[in-house]
Order: sequence, then C-alpha cells, then structure tokens
Amino acid sequence: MGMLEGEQGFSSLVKNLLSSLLTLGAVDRSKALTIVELSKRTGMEARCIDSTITLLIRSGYVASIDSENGARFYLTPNGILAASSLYS
Amino acid sequence: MRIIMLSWEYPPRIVGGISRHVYFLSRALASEGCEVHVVTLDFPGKSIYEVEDGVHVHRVPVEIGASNFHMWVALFNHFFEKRIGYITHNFGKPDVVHSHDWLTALSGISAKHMLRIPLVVTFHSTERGRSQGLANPESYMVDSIEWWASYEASIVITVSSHMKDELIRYFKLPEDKVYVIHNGVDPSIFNISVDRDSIRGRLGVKPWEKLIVSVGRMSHQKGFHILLQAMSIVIHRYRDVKLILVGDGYMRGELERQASDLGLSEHVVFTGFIDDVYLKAILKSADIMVVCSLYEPFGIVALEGMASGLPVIVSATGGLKEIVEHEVDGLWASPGDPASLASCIERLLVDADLVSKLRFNAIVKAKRFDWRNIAKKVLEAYGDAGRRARFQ
Repeated sequence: MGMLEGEQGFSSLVKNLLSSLLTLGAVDRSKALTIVELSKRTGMEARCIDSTITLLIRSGYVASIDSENGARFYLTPNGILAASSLYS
Repeated sequence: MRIIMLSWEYPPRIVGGISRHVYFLSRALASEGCEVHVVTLDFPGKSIYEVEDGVHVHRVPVEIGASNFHMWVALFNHFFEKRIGYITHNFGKPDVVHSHDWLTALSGISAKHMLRIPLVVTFHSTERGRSQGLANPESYMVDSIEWWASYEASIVITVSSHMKDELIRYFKLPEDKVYVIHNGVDPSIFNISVDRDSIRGRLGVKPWEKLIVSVGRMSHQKGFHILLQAMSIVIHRYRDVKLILVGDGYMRGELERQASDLGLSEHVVFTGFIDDVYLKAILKSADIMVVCSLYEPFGIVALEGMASGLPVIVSATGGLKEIVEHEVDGLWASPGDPASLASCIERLLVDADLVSKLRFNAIVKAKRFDWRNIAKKVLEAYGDAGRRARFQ
C-alpha cells in the first residue's frame, strides 16, 4: 500500500486512474479497458497509466484480463470502494 | 406507503455511513408495512433487482462512461430516474421519494416534479464540513446542489442537532423544516459469540495485550493520524497494547508510514476493507474503541462499538457528543489533541471499574437507538412532508 501514496495520501496519478476507471465504468470484466483506451479517454500518457496500473494491481484494486487487443483492466470490488472513498 | 429511497451506496458497496443507514432504515420501514424500493448503484456479483428482507433493491448500472466524477454523478442520476420510471410503471406511483446526500439529489428532485410527490432529503454531512470549507470549483458546485436539494425538499432530515444547526446556518433553512432523526443500531446483531482468542490471534494480538480498535474511511477527517500520535505517547508507559485500524482510503499509505516513523509497527495493524461478519467479531474481541474524527455529523461506528459492549472514546465534536455522555457511557477527548486522547486511553487501560461502568451504560444507551423507533419517526416525517409539499 505504501507504494501508492504521495505526500497527501494516494498520489495524484493513482487518484486519477482509480477515479477514471470508476467513472468510465470499468467495474467488471465485460467493461474492462486497454491502456490505449484509457489513455484516449483520460488524456493521461499511456506510459504513466502502465506504471500506475501495475501498482494498483499489486494493491488488489485493479484486475486484468487478456484480450485480442492486449490486456484489459477493471476495478475489483475493493478498487470500487477505494475509488468511491475519494469522494466521500 | 410506497417509498423510493435513493442512495449511491448500499451493501456490499459500503463507502461511508450512508450505506448502513439506508440498509437498516429500509428494513425497518418494510417491517412497518411499507413497500420500500432502494435505488442504488450496481456492484459486481449482485443482481440488478432483488428483494432482500422485504426491501426491493434496484442496483442500477451506469451505461455511459464519464470523463470526471461530477459528470458521472449527473449520469448515474439519469439512470436512477429511468429506474424510478420503471418502478412507477411496474409497481405503482410512489408516495414519497427520499434522497440521501447531494449525490442522489438530482434524481430525487426530478422524481418530485415528474410524479408530483413529496421529496425528503437526508443530509448525512455537508460539503463545507467534509472539506472544512469550500476550496475549489467542485466544492462550490456540490455546495450549490446541497442548497438546491434543501430548497426543493418538503422537509430535510439530518442525523444530529449539530448538523441541524449547520444546515440552518449554511442554507438559511426555516428551523421547522429540519428534522433531527439520529442514526440507529440493531443491538441484536452485535450480541454474538465469537472465539475471542482465535480472532485476536488472527490479528497478531497476544493474550495479555489490550486491543484498541478504530474503524473508518482513511481520510484526514477521521483523525487516524491523531490516534497514531496518541499511541506513540501511550506505548511509552504501556507496551502491551495493540491498535487495529479497520478500513481503507487515500491516506492509508501515509498512515502506515507515520506508524513506522513513530516506532509503532509492532503495535498497529491495518486490516483494509473487511466484511461485516469479521468486523463484528473484531468488535467483540476488542477492549477499547476509539473514534477520533475531526468532523463527524453523527458517528454510527461509535454506536456500533457501544452496542458491542465496548468502552468508547470519542472526539468531543459534532454528533459524537450527542451519542456519548462523558464519564457515563464513554469518554470525550479534545478533537485533534493526541495528549488528550492518550490520557483517555490510559485511563481505560488501568481503571477496570470505569471500564465496567462504561461498558454497561453503553449497551443500555445503544438500545435507545433502535431502528424500529427511527423508522416510526421517519414515517411521521414523511406524513409532514406530504402536507408541506409544493410543486412550483
């Protein structure tokens, strides 16, 4: 968990990505998004998404599935709660 | 009476206190003979529609992605409205729509005008309180929606007298429009037998150690950083103490680092999110509960601790002061003051008579907050809302 934080809790990259996965609706396998799709829809650089998402997977907030277009990512139930807690 | 209850969180989507509030209130209203429809957000593994203990639960998927949180809120309110239309068509016109906090206010207001039914809004907190002021454009927008919801509502319910004062001051509401109905607790669900040694062992608590528990979202508002500072004072005199922090949130990493920096690594355990069954078991296995929020409209966690028979220490702020009577059924610490909190903890570590008194009185106090009584008050409020409803 410690790897996710900045000076005030989650780093801004982690917050942005968690929040984006929630609001874009990537909350189960059927709605999972690739890094390219996430980059297009959030404006974040694919490289930043790639490194941040690895941390989120290790923390249990994001899961991935394989697809023809490469790995797709979605929030786990704990990830949904963590993303929601940013606004509560 | 047919009721539509709107909430962005509902078990198993438990983000804050609203989830539990809506869960228990809905069940209590159903027990009173009401037809209750909870409209909430979907969650992996749960059905879109099911009837749970007499409550119709509609878990609505948000079919369109949004580029930011506030647009997402507007979109999910749209899908809530669609579901309200479905409920009206298939079950009949509701008698009242009840929104919880600003997040579901927009669909509540729409339902009010489209169906010409009274709107009731429960404020569990305010943006000004949560953010300790209005510091950015998003906060101003949320504050405006809160004001608009309080204006459109036939009546406003809030969870403590402290919050009532806040709402009247912030939104210039007439005093008689705001009803105080406290959160509740079902003491029977905390009256359970657990294998205390096994639970404590699972948490790494040694048999001779005192177990302090604190539960909540890991945000600045909840004051866990103050509790860690207090613990660093306590362990200088009392080494055999372990603190269990239950919950997760954006500050968890920072809190883990703080615990390490303070030399508390062997004295603090972070559990992350846990299910309700395990939480109840931990509460039954603990010796002390601490709720050290810097801002707390109510503090349902303190009530759950009391129902579990724990001596509780709370910050003397907001609704916590209304739940706990100092020296009678709990102790008050000064908000944001680690020394005050450490002093309260140390008293409970050494004074067995005080602990016994607080435990006994806490269990008695918790019974006053029975959800059945709260449901009756809410039904009276719905009746008043019907009489006061205006549709201009």
